[in-house]
Amino acid sequence: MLDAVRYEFVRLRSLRSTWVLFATGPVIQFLFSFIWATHHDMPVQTRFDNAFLGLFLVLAVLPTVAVGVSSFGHEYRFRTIVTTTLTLRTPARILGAKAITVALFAAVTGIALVAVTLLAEAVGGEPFTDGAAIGQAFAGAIVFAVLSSLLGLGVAAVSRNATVALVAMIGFPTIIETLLLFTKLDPALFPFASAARLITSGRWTSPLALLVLAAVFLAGSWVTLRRRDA
Amino acid sequence: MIVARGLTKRYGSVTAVDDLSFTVRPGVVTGFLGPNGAGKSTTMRLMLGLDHGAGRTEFDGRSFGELAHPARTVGVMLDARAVHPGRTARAHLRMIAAGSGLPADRVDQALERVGLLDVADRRAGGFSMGMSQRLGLAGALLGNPQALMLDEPANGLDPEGVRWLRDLLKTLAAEGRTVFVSSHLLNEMAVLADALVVIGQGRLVAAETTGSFVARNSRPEVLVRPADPGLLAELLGRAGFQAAGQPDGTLLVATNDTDAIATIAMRAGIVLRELTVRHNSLEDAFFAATAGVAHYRGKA
Repeated sequence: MLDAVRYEFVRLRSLRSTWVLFATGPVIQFLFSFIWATHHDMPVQTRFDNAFLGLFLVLAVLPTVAVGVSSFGHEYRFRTIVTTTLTLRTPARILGAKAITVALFAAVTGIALVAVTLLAEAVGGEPFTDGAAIGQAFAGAIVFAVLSSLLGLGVAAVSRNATVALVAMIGFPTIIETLLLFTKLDPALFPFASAARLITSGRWTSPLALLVLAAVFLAGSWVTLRRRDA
Repeated sequence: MIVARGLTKRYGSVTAVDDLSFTVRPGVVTGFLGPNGAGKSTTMRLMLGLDHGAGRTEFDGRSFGELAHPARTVGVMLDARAVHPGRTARAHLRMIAAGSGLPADRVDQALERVGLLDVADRRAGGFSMGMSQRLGLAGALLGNPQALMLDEPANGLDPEGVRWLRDLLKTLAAEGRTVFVSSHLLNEMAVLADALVVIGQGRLVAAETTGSFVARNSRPEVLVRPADPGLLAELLGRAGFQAAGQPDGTLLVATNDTDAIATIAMRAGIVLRELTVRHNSLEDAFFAATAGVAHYRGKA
């Protein structure tokens, strides 16, 4: 499995697009949080929390999700899945290595998102220093980025199409979940919106819906890899 | 040695590969031939477990999935263009080396062997077909494997590249490796392959040495250029030979007995300006062997 993870790590880091996407999320997050940081009429805690509100976080995490989607999407687009299958051989190794590398990449992105938010607060005039809230934000951002990226990975593996997967990953949190707000469904069932609340609320059950969705698609990916020809 | 037994692949009601069994021996280059749609690529994918189907292929006694170090046992090139265009040649091979547990210095050795070391840091998307083929070959050679499976490796190579490939594969075979190569280039196969596996419509047509395949699937012919073709054709016919007149005044006689033809001509006082045994090519033999199993054959 270690060789499989090395393969995926080289695969990820040897593409320029990975680094461009890696840098894009924190840049987006810095801009959003800097806008909030300049609202000196609000308490600093509110400014910090607002930087992770709703679609802001979804957009900041989207480049990382795109890395997860590309992890399988590029394999089918450029037919490199044959090389990957011949090198890593088993569906468990292929999927496991991709999941580990994508999750690590997303976790680092999650850390970066909170770090640039703190930087924006400091640059905006008043640093945010509540240690417990910052710790909560780090944990929540990491969980949100990791689960979103793993879901992107799973959707791309099942659909075998990067475009379809990316459209689904953009459309679900932005359009579907927004429309669901007009229904009487429990918001805890909205995967992305609920998981994002972990950053500010501290409720550990809030990412459950996203966790279940990611697990279902990863299981579907494993079945797909086992049953379909490479 | 590669041993394939009972390979079968069905797509719904269509049988793409039908109970195919053959052996590929070490020390020689074995060509894998078949008309378009015969199932060559599907067979290779089945052999490596990339496609789900029936049958088993063993590489020195183990299936691909059972090999402890597949890259060190079987080098594979199925689709030379299957490379991310944004990745450099060196990074592409480093990725495979990392996944196969191979030392990183093997990458430059493989690139040097295929002549791509100077462009190692160029993105594969800018490579010509010939360069992509060389990169694919470098990937196959990365683990210094005992067996090679290459699908159409000569496609896109320039004449110098084709000659280089031929010399490389012959050298690898001479080192005792098992070399299994599919190709559409029959003239190239005629000089490259020592043995052949020929399939048509997914079924085995022949598995033998190139020489015996050509001999078995061709009939001997003698080209005669007589001063009087009509008279000689009549005399040959009376002697039991089949002689077919050609527009240029020559006769094609279905035999390899040049002495008999010369004797008949001499007795009749017919001057012969040419008397040659025509050697059939692999191409002729291939078309004769696969006449009934080609999916697609056009008209000139």
